[in-house]
Amino acid sequence: MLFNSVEFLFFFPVVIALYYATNYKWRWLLLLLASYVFYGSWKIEFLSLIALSTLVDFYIGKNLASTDNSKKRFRLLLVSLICNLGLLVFFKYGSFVASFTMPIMPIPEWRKDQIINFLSFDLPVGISFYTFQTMAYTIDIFKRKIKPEIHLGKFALYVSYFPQLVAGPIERFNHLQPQLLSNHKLTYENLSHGARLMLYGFFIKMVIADNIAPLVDLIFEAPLEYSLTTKWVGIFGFGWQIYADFYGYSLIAIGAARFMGVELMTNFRTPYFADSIQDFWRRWHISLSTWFRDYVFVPLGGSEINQFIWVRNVLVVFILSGLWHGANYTFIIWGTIHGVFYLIERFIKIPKRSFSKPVHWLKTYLIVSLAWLFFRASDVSNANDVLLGFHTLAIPKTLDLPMELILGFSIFIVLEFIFRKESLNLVLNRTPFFIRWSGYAIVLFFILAFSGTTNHPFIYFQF
Amino acid sequence: MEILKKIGIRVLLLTFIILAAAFIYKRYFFSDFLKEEGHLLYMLNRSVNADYLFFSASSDYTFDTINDKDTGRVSFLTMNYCDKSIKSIAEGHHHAGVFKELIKHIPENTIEGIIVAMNLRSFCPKWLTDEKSENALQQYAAAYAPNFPLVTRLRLALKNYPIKTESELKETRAEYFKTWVLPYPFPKNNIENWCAIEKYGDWKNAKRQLADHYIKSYGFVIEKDHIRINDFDQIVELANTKNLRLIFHILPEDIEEAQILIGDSLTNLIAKNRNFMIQRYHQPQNNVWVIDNLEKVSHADFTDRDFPTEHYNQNGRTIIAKAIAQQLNAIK
Repeated sequence: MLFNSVEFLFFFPVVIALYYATNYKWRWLLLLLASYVFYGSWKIEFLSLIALSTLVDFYIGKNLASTDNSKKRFRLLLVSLICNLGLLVFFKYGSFVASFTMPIMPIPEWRKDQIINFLSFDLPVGISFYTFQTMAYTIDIFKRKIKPEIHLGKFALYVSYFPQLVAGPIERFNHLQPQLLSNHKLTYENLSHGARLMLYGFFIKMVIADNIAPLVDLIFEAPLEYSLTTKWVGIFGFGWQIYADFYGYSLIAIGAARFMGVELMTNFRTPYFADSIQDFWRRWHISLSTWFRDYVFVPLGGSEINQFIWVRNVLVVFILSGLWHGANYTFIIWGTIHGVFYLIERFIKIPKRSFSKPVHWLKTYLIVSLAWLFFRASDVSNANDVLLGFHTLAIPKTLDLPMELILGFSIFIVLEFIFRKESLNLVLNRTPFFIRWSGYAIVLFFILAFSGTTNHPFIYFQF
Repeated sequence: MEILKKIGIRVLLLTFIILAAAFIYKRYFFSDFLKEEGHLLYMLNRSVNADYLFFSASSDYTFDTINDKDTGRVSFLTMNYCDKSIKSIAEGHHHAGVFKELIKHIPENTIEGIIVAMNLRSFCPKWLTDEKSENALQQYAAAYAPNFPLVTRLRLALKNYPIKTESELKETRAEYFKTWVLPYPFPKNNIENWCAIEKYGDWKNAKRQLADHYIKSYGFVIEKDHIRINDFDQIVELANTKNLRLIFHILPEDIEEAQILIGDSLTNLIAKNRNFMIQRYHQPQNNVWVIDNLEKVSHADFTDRDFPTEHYNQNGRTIIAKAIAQQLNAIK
């Protein structure tokens, strides 16, 4: 069930109504059932994977807390990591690994085809998110940062809580679980704040991302038919598409949770206003970047060691972050670009003065956009065609940008500028009623009348 | 109580905004939207002054780019042989499932009747599960469904129509190939086994590939619970309700090529399906006619050679046009 679907428009109000009508002691059960219905609506078979991940980490978490034997604790942690990463590798990278290992395997061709076909199934939605969430849980217990959940059902809710299940934010146990089990009262503030976030989320997903997507697709599918300027529109366009797509999804998720009194972590802070790559990663997909910082970078030694190992650690984190997005060399290149420029910025420090701020911003924006090119391209040759390929038509094609997209995008940019320093709800709280509701009316009209109609599910569902 | 009052006021405000949006959208924006994303309905709205509307797919307008002197559509050529004005409502790959949604929009007492292409190949598993067109056709069907404009727009934005992933479509197709039973003993008992017969060598052989396409395009038996039959039934019902004459015309297929490549076992199936359609729908007493053009166009008049299609040269299109005109004249 997608957020931007008719099913969700019925599902969500029913869940909220039932949530506040249910005694708080049983709300966990209601939310767990709702979350399983939400997730099972994609494919009922997917439920077995999330159930497996839940069971493994629940029992490993319990056992970890009940023993002081360091060898046993390490073995338990290893089992959890193998199970979670094993699921991820099998479903996400299986066909990728098979595609380059099969040609050298001494088995008949038909058997190779059979194996590759077997591994080419639809990726279980959100698997990268919930496996990272459960791994963080086990690692935190191993490090004795948190105590395990002793109730299987309540732990299952932490893993599957539907607003953030399929594309994050990747929540930590000690932040999310107490909120899930609290007795939240129905307050006007929660409803209005949640509704505002959801409305804005739907606007940027459905009006901005879904209208940019078909234009970007055209360019990346046949880059040699377009002029150089148009191709750059495609490259920048994808940067905004993926941002609007993922930020929109995150806002809807945060807004939906807010309806229940649950505050999910902020996942984006106007990333395109960043003035360095380091700054960008403090603003972009924050729940993933902090996950990598806490569970990869710091255990590898972080920055408290010699420079060579620090450089290695930075590159490892960025390359892994690229690989996390999918099994393709393009994602590795994307991660590497970020890693390399991150290091360059750290080694060559240019003082930031007020007059040079636009230059830093522009430099960051261009690097990030260039990296997005590889993220979006189907392969390296496609990226090369988009970036450097010369058009093959006598008169290269250009794109006509629809007026509704230009208007919607202008509204989006203005709002981004306003929200760069203060959150949406803080700004709206002090806006007069009439102006606020005029804004809602405009945004709602854009959603109803100008949303994109081509079929583009949330980009991050595939990760 | 206070909270309920606050919510109540806001719900009323929202309702007002949505109603205003619905009015503004219908008045100022829907027509432009149809031009872009529902152009057949846009055309239909501007064609109800004709005598007949001609619902078809690419068979109506595809021509031989090298040899045709007259590149007119079938619907246009038909007017040369009768005195009816006919407007074409045609788009590639469209089938009865989309046409029925469009027909719902025809206002009563505006036209005499409708002519609807009956493409036997639109029943085949390949067409039902085509990765390139199936989701798009479902989207068109949703765009043409008779709803309030803003509801239509929102349905499309929320993708409120059946969407299948590429792998789901492939899976369903493979299932059809395996489970649709044919009235022949093994190895012609289903499409998968039939295609495995190595009459023309391995898969790289062009002739083998073409034979494969023919089996996959025509190797099935139409039964009354087929989804397309349901669409055609609804078209009949709609025509009855709107008091429209309904003329189905079975599109010619390249039977000669099918005979050469596969033989009687395939051409008999095609004929059987044709007979089923005629038997089910040809009811002149109820203002429904089925024109049988299946074998009227010879192999030489088909324009495509590497895949079975319903694309004809000028001679082929003229033959179809004449047959339709003859039926229209006979009704008169």
